[in-house]
Amino acid sequence: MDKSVAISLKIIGFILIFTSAFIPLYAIDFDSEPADTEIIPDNPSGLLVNSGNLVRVLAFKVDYRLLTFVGEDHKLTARYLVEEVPSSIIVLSATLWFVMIFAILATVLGQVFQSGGFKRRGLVADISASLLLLVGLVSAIIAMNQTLHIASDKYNAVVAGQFSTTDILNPITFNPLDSTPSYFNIELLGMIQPGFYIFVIGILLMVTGIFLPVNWQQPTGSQMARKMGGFGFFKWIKHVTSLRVTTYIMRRLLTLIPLFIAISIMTFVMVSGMGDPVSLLLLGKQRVTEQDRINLTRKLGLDQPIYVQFIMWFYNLLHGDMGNSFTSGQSISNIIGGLVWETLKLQLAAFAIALLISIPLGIIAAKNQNTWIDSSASALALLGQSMPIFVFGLLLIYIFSGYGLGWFPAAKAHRVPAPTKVFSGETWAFLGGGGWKTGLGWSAWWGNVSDRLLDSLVHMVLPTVTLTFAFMALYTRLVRSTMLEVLQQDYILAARANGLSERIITWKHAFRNTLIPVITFIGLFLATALAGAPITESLFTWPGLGQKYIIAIGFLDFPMILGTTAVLTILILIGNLITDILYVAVDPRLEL
Amino acid sequence: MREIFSKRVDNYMKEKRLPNSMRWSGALVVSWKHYYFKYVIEFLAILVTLFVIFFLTGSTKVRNFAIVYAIIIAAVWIVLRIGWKLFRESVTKQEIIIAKDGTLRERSPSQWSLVWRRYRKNKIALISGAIIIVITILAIIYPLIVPFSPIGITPLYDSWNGGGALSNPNLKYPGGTDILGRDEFSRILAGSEVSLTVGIFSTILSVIIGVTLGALAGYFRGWTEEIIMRLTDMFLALPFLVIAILAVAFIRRGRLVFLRQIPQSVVIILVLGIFGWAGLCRLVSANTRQIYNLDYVNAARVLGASNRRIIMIHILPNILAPIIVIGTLAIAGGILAEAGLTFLGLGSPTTISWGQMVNEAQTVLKISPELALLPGFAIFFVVLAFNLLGDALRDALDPRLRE
Repeated sequence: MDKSVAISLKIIGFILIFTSAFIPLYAIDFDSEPADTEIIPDNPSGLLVNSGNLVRVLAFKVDYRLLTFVGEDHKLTARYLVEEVPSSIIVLSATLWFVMIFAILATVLGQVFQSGGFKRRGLVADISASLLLLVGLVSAIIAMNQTLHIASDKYNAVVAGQFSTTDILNPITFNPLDSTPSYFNIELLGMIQPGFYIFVIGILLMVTGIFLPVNWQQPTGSQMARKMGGFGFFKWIKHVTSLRVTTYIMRRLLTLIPLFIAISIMTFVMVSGMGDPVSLLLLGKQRVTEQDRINLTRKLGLDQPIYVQFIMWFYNLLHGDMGNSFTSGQSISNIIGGLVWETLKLQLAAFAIALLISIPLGIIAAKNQNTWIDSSASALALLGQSMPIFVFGLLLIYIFSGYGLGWFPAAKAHRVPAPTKVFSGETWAFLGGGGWKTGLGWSAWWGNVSDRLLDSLVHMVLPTVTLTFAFMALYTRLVRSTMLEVLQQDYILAARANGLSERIITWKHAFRNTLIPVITFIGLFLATALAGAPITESLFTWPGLGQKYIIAIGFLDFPMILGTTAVLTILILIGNLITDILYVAVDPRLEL
Repeated sequence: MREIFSKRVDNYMKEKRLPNSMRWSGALVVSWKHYYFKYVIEFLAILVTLFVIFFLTGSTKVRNFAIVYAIIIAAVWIVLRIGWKLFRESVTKQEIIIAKDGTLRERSPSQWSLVWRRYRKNKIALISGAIIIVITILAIIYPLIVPFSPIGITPLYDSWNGGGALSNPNLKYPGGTDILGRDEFSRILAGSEVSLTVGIFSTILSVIIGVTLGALAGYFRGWTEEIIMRLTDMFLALPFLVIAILAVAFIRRGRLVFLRQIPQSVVIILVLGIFGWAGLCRLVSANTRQIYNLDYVNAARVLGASNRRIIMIHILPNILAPIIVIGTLAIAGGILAEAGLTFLGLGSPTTISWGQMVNEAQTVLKISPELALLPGFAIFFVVLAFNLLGDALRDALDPRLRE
């Protein structure tokens, strides 16, 4: 790892930011064929179709029924669409350019400082450069936000019929604050969103690039010598890439395959014996003949012997196809793709917060052993360990949701129905609305983003607190006991005898060794957390894997049950594998 | 010298403070019949009195089962009395034994008496143990003390006196009544039965499976260990609750009709026991492997002890401490898992279970939160007691494990 890596990171960052500045412009589909026209049965406005591709495309993406609502003013609406929406696209693009230039200036400045005679000031220069970058970014976001909010409020006002469009087009008489703030749920121009993510990734890469050379400057002679002999990070890299460790990891990886097959067979047998979905599906239908029953059985593939069913299911699973739901007919892969994210979002947030709280808490408790701090931390941990997760959740619901203080919502993950796909254009719903396939511009993109983000966060509060409380108990106990064990080791005594300060002993010598079991817990966490998902999700009616799993069991939706179990098992196996790898990577003393 | 000692023995005899350990030792044998005679008398006296009282004053139902009720109450009373006696004895016990040659010696404490000494110093441990004993007794005798039938809807027709459906807690119905007009207090008392049964028996099942397989894997290396450890890996990689839900659904309403005959709580015991042994198995096999290499095991093998004898006599008693601790904590886990499963609606409507009560009360959380929270906190307290007991046992059994 030397300077070239840092520089290449910076260059990639530049390129990404550069392209992201163009992407909004690509979102306007200038060349699209008027294929969409026939969907509009009676076209309310000739103008919209005939005055150029841009207007037609944009107007179609707004849901034309809203335009008919405006009635006579449709020409003005069209004018609004022509003038306002693209202009805000251009504003956003310009702000991105602005940020980009800022970023370039900042990094060049940092580079100059660093590569010049001021080697010692490299860090200062880099920090100031990234601060500049941050200021640029924040100001750009604020600017975007303002522009887009005004534009979206104007649009909402038109749609709601509160203002005539003449008012809106007059910037002096129009005050967006007069319009009732409504949730802007028009599907917006989603090309911006991938653009935004690329932009963010670019910024992150560049910041990494700025900071990397500070730690790995050109090594001096003595440093070079230590490096050759194996030292610190390099020794660690050598250890991880050594044949011994690699073989171990590969062996673990290979054992996972028969494990997964065995678990699949077990669940498949259990699921197949769960009942007769055909009767359940035909329930309530009139005049069901025996032929109907046979046809449905054949259609669902249940007429085959069970081993054939299993082999077909497994073969399709390997090709990414988990079949179609018995009840809704949708592809299971699509359904689960949306649900996994909702589940992981909750679990990961709770996990991160629990770690952030419990690591300091455990260390403080261990340092002050047998004092009131220690006993209260232990009591808290015990409380969290003994409290059934649904009772704590119900308590929170009773106190903080609509029954009591009414601060947070107690059900669902979003105010609007959540999208079902992840990693496709239609989602990233946790950050923003619409997708790049559907939707209109972008007048309220940021408004939409912030609104949805806030909405999502508010819905996450209660479930996350519930889960955090449960996880925290485990981790606090773990960190505390490990820390106590480590503090009794000889090397801590040696460090004390050498006269090191208590702070350095705690955080540098003891804490790092405490991390070994904590890291190994990350993998085990997946097993416990994901298996516990049904309870939390049922309680908060969270649209995740767990809740849908319970529903699927009720409806005997075999592909859904099998798919969920398979996905959960795969996640847990991956978690175990990561644990094994981390365990070996962190602790070289381990016998393999 | 010898006279002084024998005099001391005489004093013991006079004061009737004979230590427990002296009953079988050396020359001095005190029959247990003598020792517990007064309790037998007391038991019979209570039995007769209660039977007479029940038979004369009770309602028809009480009169029909008068002898059963009397036996249960008298037995509980005697168990408490003897428990208290043993406790006092253990506190004041003087560790003196009479050797074969007639001399008195201070007895070196056994491992279990050391454990008990450490345990009884821990106040929290005593309290949690007492709570568990009380809850266990409640779970056994609840039919005697519930004010109303936990499944009957008598309170529904009692709305003038604080009954009805969803009534608030009052003196007659201390926990209020639930959505069908059943007395919540009686239901909470009755729910302890299923919780404790499932927690304890599922743990026993998983301990049996886990210890057997773990000891086999740790003792017999080679392919035995390989097979058992792969099996353990598989069970560890299962998403526990998800598979448990699946298994309960499979057994309760599956195609195999004979499985549906199994009662609800037995199903949950089986499922929790069958899917919960993997962690214990790994622990036991690691400990067994560690002890396997010790010298005294080699010595026993050289002396010609069979594998079975080595495992049962030399290895298992030495790994008992972690098994007991993990087992106690597993009871808490089993109770939580049972509550979780029934909370998700997998219980049977005829079984009274705390988790199911929380589930049913969710819809009326706004008007009567106590319906959901009281059974919830009942689960919490029982689990807390078992967790505290587990911690205390860990401290008492192996002070090195103490955090």
